[in-house]
Amino acid sequence: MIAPSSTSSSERLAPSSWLSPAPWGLLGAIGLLLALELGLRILDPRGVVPYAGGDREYTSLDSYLTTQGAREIAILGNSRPKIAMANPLLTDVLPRKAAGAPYTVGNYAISGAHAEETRTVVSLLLAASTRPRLLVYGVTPRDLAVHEEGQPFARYLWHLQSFLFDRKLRGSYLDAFLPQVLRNEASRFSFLFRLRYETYDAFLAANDRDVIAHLKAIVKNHAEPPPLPFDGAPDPQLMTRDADSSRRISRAAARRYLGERYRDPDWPHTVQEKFLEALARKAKNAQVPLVFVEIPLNPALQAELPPNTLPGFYEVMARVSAQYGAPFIRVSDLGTKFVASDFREVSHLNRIGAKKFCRALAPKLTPYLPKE
Amino acid sequence: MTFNSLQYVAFFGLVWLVVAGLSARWFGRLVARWVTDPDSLAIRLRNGFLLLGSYVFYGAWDYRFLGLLWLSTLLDYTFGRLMGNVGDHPPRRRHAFIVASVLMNLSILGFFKYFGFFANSLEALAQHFGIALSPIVLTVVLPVGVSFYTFQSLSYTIDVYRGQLPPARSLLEFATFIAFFPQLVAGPIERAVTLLPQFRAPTRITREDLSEGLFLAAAGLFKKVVIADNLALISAKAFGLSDPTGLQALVGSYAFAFQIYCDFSGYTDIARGCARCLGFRMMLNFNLPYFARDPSDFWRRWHISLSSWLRDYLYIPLGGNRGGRFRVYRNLMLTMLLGGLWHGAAWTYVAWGALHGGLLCAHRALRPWLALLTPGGPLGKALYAMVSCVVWFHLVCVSWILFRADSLARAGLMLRALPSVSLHDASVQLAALGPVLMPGVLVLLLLGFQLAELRSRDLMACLHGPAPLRSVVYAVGALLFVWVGQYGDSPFIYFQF
Repeated sequence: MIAPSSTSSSERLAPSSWLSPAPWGLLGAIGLLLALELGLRILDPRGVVPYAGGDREYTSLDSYLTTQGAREIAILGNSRPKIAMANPLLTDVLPRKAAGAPYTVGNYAISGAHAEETRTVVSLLLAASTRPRLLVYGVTPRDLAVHEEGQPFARYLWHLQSFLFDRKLRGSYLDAFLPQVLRNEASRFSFLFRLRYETYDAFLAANDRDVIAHLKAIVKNHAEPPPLPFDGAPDPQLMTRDADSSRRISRAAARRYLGERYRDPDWPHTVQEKFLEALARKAKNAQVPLVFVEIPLNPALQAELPPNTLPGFYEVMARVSAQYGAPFIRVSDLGTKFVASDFREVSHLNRIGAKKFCRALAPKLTPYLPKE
Repeated sequence: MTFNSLQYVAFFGLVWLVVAGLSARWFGRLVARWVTDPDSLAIRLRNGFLLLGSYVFYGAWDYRFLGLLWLSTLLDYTFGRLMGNVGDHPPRRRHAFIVASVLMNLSILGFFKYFGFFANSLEALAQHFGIALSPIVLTVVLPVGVSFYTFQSLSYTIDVYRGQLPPARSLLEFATFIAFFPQLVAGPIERAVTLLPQFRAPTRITREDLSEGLFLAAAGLFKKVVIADNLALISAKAFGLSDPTGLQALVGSYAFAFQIYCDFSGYTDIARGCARCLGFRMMLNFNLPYFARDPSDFWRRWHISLSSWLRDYLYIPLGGNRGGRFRVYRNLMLTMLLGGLWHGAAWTYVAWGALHGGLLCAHRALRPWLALLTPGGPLGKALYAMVSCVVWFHLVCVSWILFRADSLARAGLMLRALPSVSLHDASVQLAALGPVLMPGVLVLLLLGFQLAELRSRDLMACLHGPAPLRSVVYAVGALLFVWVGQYGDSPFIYFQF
């Protein structure tokens, strides 16, 4: 162990000597990183957006919107609207534009999203190179419930501005996610940062061959971005074995699924309510029309909901809808009844149910479709 | 405020600016007009600021325990001064002061760390014999770093008692020594004899301090965020399996072995690096431990500040290597059992300590026979060293299972699975642990670097290498940091101790 010797002020090193000789190792590293960034920009790998379930659904949405922009009609919400308004189903039944071309629809609903996450998605959409012309937010009571996961999924999508907004509502405990937010922010400017999840998947989860194949394709011919579930490719969730099945759910199973949900004294959750308002305000300020659409609930589930769940939900939706001029289309407005056989399990429609829903919704949505 | 948070970066940046400012020539020239000894003023201001910063750092976890830290500091400072005042006469009074200091420190540690453990163990034991006991149940929150600063404080009073160290002259110096933020919550457990004099000397931050300090801090952060936190995902899955296969248990124990090494040595590297940037030198805490060839070698390389503390203040006072063979074994077992218990109030840590104690005894007993097995010639010796490393590493991995498992039953499950390692359907078995390939590559990369350090006998071989090599290492490190680093609220493992 070496204790520093006593040194008088005059013996200390002058600041000028700190940089002499130059830190060549560090400078060389910066040079290498800049060269790699330049190489990536020349290669232009904007189409590399691996899509998978879980967290990656969020990060791929961020990559997708940053590089490709939004479609004309943007579907928002969680896995319920993601399946209920699955992209090919809704596009097929919507009227065409005057010129005969179909409206382009992007389904940006992501599993597990609450109003908080959807607000962040709206921020990304409005900041994208091409903005949507209509926002369709498929809502259920779950959008206004407390996060069961504890931490908001929005963290995967936060850029600095949306993080600061969430922090105001949620508190300083979110600061732990600041490094992640800064990486997201840096991805706006640097391809090295933008491709971090893609690289993570390609190298850390090396079993994901799709990413490697995709990277190869980009290198080979600057491939056109392949279609993703966001804009019409078959969604893995719709391709599952139970996509076409219908299962009768017992009330006991519905009770088990519900657990303690919606029994919180703070129902609808104040924070999520504020995020819903913020989302509607943001759309209004950006002059992008917003339509709320209620997604059907499994009758077994509906029967087991605590008595104040739906009234509380409708009350908030009606208030926000009126305040920000965003129409709210309820299931009861559709003139179609959804029965147990329309659901694949306790909370999601099956393919038949989704088709039925889209057919019933299309005429209600038509008045709000963007004009040419 | 953990070392891997942005708050810490901001906090450290501010502290560094002030400390560097106080050591700058312009500060000396500025105050020379009013004071005769500008260096002395700079030292006092620096210590005062470091103490304030350290309390802010500690208070960010739980300000309530600042009182405890302050009490421990004040009492040990007082005991040190009292021992210094009475000199050698009469020795009984010195003895009384050191007993009081030891009792006070161990009481703090015992109450906050072990009260619940002993109360629950007593209740379980009584129940086993059919006696219904209802011990006093207290929910005691464990103050962060209590095990570290208590041992550090104890080493000071014991050294003063032994006459190896003069008592601290100033409370400010002593309080800064105890609370110095880089090492306050998870060590290294610094000795007063080496760190305290540094608080008496003026700060001298050289270019070498800065480059080595920043390199150490960056390397530590890399170990934590890139290696340890990725391995944590594997070990958490392996230790959470209800029926692990042999391969899963083996990979899980490998993952944890490197996770805990990178987590703890990463913390130490950041602590030493930050201290170095401030002009302070802290002791080496890890010296390539997985290249150890036997248990004694391992404990000279792993958590050196704790193992040397236990050697100097427990093992040697117990008799050390003196006395008969069984006396030495008893001393080894007691030291390692208490070392295990130091880590945490759980039977898994006691078992971990017992296993290491047993391995130290066994190695001591077998040493004459092992010496006979050592082949001659450089190649034979190298081969023998390699085999010893591999064998010992696997024994350490077995001990890590006890350390990581949340109960002895869970540890038993993993240990029972180990002998049945099979590569049949290996990819299916490994799939249950999540991605293992890249973390494995990261570990191999780490071992490659460490091998170079071992061969060059330079723990900063990379920093001292040629500029092109450094450029590539830094660039790859930065990319891995951005691409595969785990960002979130992931505390260091040793914070819980």
